[in-house]
Amino acid sequence: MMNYEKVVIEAAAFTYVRSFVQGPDGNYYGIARFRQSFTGYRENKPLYSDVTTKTVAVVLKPYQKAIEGESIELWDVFLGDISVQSIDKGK
Amino acid sequence: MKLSVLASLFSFSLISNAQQLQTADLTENFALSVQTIDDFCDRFNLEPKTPAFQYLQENYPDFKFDRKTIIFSLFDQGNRSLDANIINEFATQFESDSATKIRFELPGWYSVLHCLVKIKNKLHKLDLIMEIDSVHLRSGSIGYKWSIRSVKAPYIHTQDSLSKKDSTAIYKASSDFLHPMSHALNFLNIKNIFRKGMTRSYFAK
Repeated sequence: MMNYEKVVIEAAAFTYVRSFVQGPDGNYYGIARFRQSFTGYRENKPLYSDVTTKTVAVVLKPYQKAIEGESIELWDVFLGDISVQSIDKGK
Repeated sequence: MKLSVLASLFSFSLISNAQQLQTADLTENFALSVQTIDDFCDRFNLEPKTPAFQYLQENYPDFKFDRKTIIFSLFDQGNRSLDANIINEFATQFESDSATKIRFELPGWYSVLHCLVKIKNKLHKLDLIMEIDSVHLRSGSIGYKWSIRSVKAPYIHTQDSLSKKDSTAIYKASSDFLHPMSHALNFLNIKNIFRKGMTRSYFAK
């Protein structure tokens, strides 16, 4: 693995979030996608840079909880598989 | 049933000085790129909650667009084999409010997965044809999953992929499925399904 004296990681200030779709198990499935740039420096010079698009699965699991005798629907949020869609190398 | 989630701003920086890439360019390029087939459908239908349209409205409030313009823009303008007049004629059909809308969840489209499978320690090419399958849930709502509709390879017959032994495993494997957003992850999770063994439950109705 390359050692850098400094790394710069920037993410696009925009995240694509797809509307959630219910699966056969009753949970809801969605995705979030973001683009991230990476630059590694050594001796103050950029040695390597790339831009990576990543997609992460988001799972919403509904559950019922009784609070003061009243049943309320709550949600657990889980992150699932992460996929790298593309890597564009800068140098 | 769907839950709508608005695109949220997401930004972080570990070390913010000496930027190699302009974040603004990175953001705009990403925001305007078609992200998934769902995003394509939403843009085709001119859904106002489409993240790209929200981005345009927030950053370019004077910019006006209609469905015809958006549909035109979805075609690859760099492809010289496409005739702009034909594209324009096609896009014109969707100008009215009652024009057809395309839906990711509806049948009529499919996905082809070009796979490499190992048979007797040798890698072979194989295509899986996938379709979205709807499942009626006890709650009365409808759930969706990706299912294998067909298998294509010169050395395999479709009927061979369903053996009699599979029927016993239907319920055992019913909790395993390809969730409805698997396509956005390039069907990355299909490996798990194959590791657990192929059964009838993975096939479309």
